[in-house]
Amino acid sequence: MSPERAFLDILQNAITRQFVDAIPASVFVKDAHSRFVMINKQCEDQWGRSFADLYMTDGTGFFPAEQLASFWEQDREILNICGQKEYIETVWNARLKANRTVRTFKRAIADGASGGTFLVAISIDISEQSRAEGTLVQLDHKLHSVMAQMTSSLAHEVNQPLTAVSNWIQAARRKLLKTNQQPPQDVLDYLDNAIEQTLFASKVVSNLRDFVVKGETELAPACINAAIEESLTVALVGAHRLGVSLNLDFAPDLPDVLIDKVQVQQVIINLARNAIQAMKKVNSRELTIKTGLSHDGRVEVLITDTGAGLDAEIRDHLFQPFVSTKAKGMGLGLSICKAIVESHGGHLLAEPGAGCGTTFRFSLPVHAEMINASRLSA
Amino acid sequence: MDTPIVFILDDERSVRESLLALVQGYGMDARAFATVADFSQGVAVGQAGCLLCDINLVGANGLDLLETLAKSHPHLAVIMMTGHADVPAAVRAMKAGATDFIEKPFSEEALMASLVKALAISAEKTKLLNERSEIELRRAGLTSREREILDLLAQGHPNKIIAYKLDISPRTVEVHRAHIFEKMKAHNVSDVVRMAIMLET
Repeated sequence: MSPERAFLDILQNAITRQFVDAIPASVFVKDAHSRFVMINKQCEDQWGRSFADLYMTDGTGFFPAEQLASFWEQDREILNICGQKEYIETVWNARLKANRTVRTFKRAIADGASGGTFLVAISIDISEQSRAEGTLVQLDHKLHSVMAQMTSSLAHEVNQPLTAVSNWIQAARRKLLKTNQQPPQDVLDYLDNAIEQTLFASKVVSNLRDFVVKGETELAPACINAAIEESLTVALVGAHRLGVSLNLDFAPDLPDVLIDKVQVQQVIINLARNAIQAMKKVNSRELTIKTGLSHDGRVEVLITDTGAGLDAEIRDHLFQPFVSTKAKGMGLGLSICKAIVESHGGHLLAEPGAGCGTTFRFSLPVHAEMINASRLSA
Repeated sequence: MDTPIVFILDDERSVRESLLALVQGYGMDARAFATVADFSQGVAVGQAGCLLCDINLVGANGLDLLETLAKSHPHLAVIMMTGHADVPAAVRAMKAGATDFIEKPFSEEALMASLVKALAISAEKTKLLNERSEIELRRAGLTSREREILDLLAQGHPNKIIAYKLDISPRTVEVHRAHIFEKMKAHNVSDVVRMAIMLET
């Protein structure tokens, strides 16, 4: 008996049949000429054809011609490479009278002695799964458009009072100058700071809107240490009252980074404020902001607090929108920070601090001309 | 009507009132309105000055208002206030005749610069419009024959041609011409040409 014949006998063996019929997927075997030599019960069921009908045919007359052409092409490919492949395709299901999406694994079987080759295939209906995935993608789009709308109208709503605040302060400043020959310089400075911060707040809101709505960033070379220092006045509001000590550990001579400065400052402010809040209930309150070069040549920023640290449970969901440890938190801060850092090609990571507390770490791209310049000088 | 007024049109009360305080703080005459209807009632025809107008007024489009204003209140210069950098809207506003646009919230310097520019434009417009109505008035004082000769003069025809065209003697044309120059307060033919161009535009 030829090895080929022996293989066919095994396929037709009653025990083998019981075994393949029990598999909850369509299983079929073809010979080197794409002729069916075995199909299981589920195949018969789904194709609406009996094994007797299909036995030793290549399927002509049973499947649509264009589908057959693509099946045969797959078969040839598998047999040629004598390997295995996976296909996702649409096939007609006779029982359900509908097109279904199936994932098919095809594998060549080399029958050593004669060199005769067979092809075994297992096909699973994944229609429900792919539909569910489609729904998820749609939901994601929907959520994004809701977010975009929310952000857009929030930006407008916030911008109006900000405009009024800045107008009132400027009107007050002018009146003060007019009625008072020598108004105290520190009061004028306070008012100037207030105006500046109002304009900054508006810029933050506007950038956030552009970012969520259009995914836009305005990249420009900047010195990260200077950018951090600029954002500290806002970041450290209330820190002094809590007795938080600030430790700046800036690496000197860092190359310029290519960033959207306002966005990155927003990340720094957000992380620093979170850090300060995290230390409310502990005795030792130290905020460390460290900069340096990472091993892959990016500029890295680390913001460390000496708070109680993060629960493992919280840490896993930390960057998801609408997850917050604060009673009144929206849970948007960190997810936005993460999105901003990722739009700069980096990752935002939370790690346990050295002794206690938490370190938030992210990296930023170095301005390309700076890389070239440093290469030239080297 | 000679003193320019800064009109503020914004439906957001907090913005309107604070802006009024700010502009009045500059020592300028300012008035604030919440709706287009209120503003239309509160501004006299021929008033010089500028309008600070929000581009997104409830129930009215700032751009439509621009077009209406260009006809009804040509003396006014308009500054559009936009929300977050809405470049397409700003471009449309400038095309529709706004003299400037500023993004809310604005610094004092930005507002001041924009106001100074707008008031200068309004002053220039007012000067031209006044001059034009003055010339129209003078032209209305001419006889119909004088108007006829004025038009031919403005077209650059010499006395002899005008005399030939109107079938009158050159001497008569010279007499009319003297009266026209006097009534129009023109010193020479180029003054007359300039006035004619002004009336056409």
